[in-house]
Amino acid sequence: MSAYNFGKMTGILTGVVIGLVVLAVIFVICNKNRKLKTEYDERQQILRGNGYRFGFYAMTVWAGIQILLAAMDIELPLQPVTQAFSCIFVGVLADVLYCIFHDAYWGLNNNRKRYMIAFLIIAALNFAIAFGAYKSGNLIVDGKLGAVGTNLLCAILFLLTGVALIIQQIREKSPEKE
Amino acid sequence: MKNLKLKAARAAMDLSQEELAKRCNVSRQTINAIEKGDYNPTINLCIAICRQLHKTLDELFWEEEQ
Repeated sequence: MSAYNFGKMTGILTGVVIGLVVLAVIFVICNKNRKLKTEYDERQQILRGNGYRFGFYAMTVWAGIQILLAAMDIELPLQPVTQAFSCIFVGVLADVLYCIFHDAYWGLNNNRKRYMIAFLIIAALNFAIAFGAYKSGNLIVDGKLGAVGTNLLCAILFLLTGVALIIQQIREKSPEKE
Repeated sequence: MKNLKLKAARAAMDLSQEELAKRCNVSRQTINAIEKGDYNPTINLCIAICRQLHKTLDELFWEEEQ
């Protein structure tokens, strides 16, 4: 392994570890009881299981479409890293939207306001990175969405999540209609 | 089938869905789903709800055959 590749790998792994630590800190700050784990009640756990199922189906369908397109020599305007990330994007989005619209997204110990602020910050940071790459001409590489496209997809994911949460909150405005 | 007995018992104690949910450690939407008949709770949750509303399982969850 060359020194360059070693350095690159070390950098990526360090980034992943830092990312996980930051994520853990966000969870602890945003949960009311300062716990890392979000707690759900029994109904939510069942629905979240359905959400994971739909997420898996969506991811599989999207991966299948990509295989078909590749077999037909049709290239998506995505670089390999971004294309792989798009599978995660599709799966997570399907899961999250299902959970939100079935009242199984927010856990019992979640502080919704803090989470929404965290989502907004994460979306803004990712948009800023993508915008910076666009300005420097690194967002599109050889006519395809480059690796920084993952930041763009991440920002879109958090933005869509936020919008879905706001829509669901509006739908919930009159809780005891019956 | 809607659980009107649960709703009536909750109202009799002047509890909102939110308050009952907090006492039973579930979400408000779960209590709402039980009252609307959209969700069948486990026996553990039924017992927790009965304890909070000072009712028996029969009083809140038993349905006589039509």
